[in-house]
Amino acid sequence: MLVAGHAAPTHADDGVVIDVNAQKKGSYPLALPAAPEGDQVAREIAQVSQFDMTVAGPFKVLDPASFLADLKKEGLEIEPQKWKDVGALGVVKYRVTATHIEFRLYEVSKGNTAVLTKMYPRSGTTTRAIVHRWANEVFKYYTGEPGFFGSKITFTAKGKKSSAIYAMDFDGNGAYAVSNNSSTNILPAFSPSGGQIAYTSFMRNNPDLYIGPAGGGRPKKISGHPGMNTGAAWSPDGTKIALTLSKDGSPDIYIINAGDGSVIKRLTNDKAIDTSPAWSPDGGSIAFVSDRNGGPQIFVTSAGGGAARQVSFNGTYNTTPTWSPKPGKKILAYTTRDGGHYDIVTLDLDTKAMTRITQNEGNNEEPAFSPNGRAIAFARAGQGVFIANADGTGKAVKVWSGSATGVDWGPAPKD
Amino acid sequence: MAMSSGGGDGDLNAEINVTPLVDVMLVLLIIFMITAPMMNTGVDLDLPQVSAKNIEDPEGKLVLSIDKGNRIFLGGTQVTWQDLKVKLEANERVKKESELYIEADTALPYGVVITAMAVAKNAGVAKVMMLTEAEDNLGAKLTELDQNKPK
Repeated sequence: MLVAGHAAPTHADDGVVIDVNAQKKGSYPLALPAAPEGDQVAREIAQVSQFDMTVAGPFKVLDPASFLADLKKEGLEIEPQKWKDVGALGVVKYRVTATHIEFRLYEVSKGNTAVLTKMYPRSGTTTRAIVHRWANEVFKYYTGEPGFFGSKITFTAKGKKSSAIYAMDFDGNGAYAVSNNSSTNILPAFSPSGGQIAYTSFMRNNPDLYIGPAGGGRPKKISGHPGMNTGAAWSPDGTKIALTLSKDGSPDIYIINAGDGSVIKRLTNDKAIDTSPAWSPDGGSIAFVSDRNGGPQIFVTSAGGGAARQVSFNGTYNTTPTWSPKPGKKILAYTTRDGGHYDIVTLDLDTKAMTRITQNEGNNEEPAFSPNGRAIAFARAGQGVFIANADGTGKAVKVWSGSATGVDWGPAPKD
Repeated sequence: MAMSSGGGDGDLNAEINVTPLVDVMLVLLIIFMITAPMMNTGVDLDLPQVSAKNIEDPEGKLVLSIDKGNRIFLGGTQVTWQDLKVKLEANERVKKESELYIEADTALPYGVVITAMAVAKNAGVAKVMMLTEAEDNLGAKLTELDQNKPK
């Protein structure tokens, strides 16, 4: 039954430099530490590094069940053929001592010589925080861009009679309440430095804008005009805030001073509802939602004032725009209604290319980009906060369970 | 492909019935026989000596080896038969290349090798390369088999 035939031998592409940016998600196979049973620190290192590299975008995290190497014998080193045989191009190794955690990154094609080595002191920090720092190094090694591991996400957690502002690590770890009142608190926005969160609270019955420490604590009222003071968006330099005020009748977009709340400029002035401003990363443009042409659509105007132009033309209902922080790009993510469901899409304003981020999975709203623009966080109605790849590939990962809305992603972590 | 599975005389047969496996594999599995004199996975084997197609670059391929003690090695690492399916299924290289090189000791029963191939097939391998050692006197071997005197 064995048939001698003409085998066309395929040459493995071992040793070829892989440009992870040019590849689709899941393309760069990376072997990460497996979680041995019993050892708490080792388990945490395995779990956190596997989560980080899975949601990072360009990597395919290999299943440790396939590993052939004798991990104990290898220690901090690698036997390249054993990793080649499980399809790995990159391998991460580590060692924990009483005082430090040492990480090494290997490229299998370069043999048993680490291409990246880092030693992290354990005092004054957590294992989880150290793994995030290492994950940022690995991400930067392959992409040249900063990672978002260790950054924070803020959102509105809806209760039965009230809603609170929450913040947590981007992976859902360590969620805590930022607001401390039994009223309704909505639409949080991280300051560019990450130290403060602006949000609208009904604690004094009117929807006023407050700014409080991101870690929680007493907030300061910054804008308390009669009617709406909502949807705060910080300017990239942190000195100004764009928001919706309805003090002069219909809701319009204004720019106020982030320090004292004084109005600097009125950006829109019409009878329609203008709301949900978002500041472009270069500070020059503001995207917002207006129903001036019928249903709610996305418009863009200069932060200095002037005419606004409609940029969204798909469907009849588009809201909550946010800008990708990718330098040199003009990409918006927003919520669109499509066939009775709400989904997240991105729109490149230069190429007009639209990309779907969610499809056929509940109602998805209020996107926010990760600080490097690689991922998008959003709220799925009744389910929680999710993060997904900003290029539309892969599957969204739930990072917080509950009833959430108003998601915003904080700045890149400081190393 | 039909094979007789023996008489229905009620004898218990503890051996693996390979007939359905063989049928399935002939349909779905692409099998090549390859002479690979320089393959070295560190496993001590006598390979069947049959001339077959030479592969240009045998080094670095993912090889499944079975020695005469029924011990099984993936990439030179001994694994259990129980673990073999999981090891292959989770293997990114198998997923990408969908091929596996098998070298099995010439003294092994047919059923053992077929079982390994069946496991590989179940784990998603589409193409199996059976490794042999070079042999230039096939005629003598056939005569020997006819005389029922395997060496």
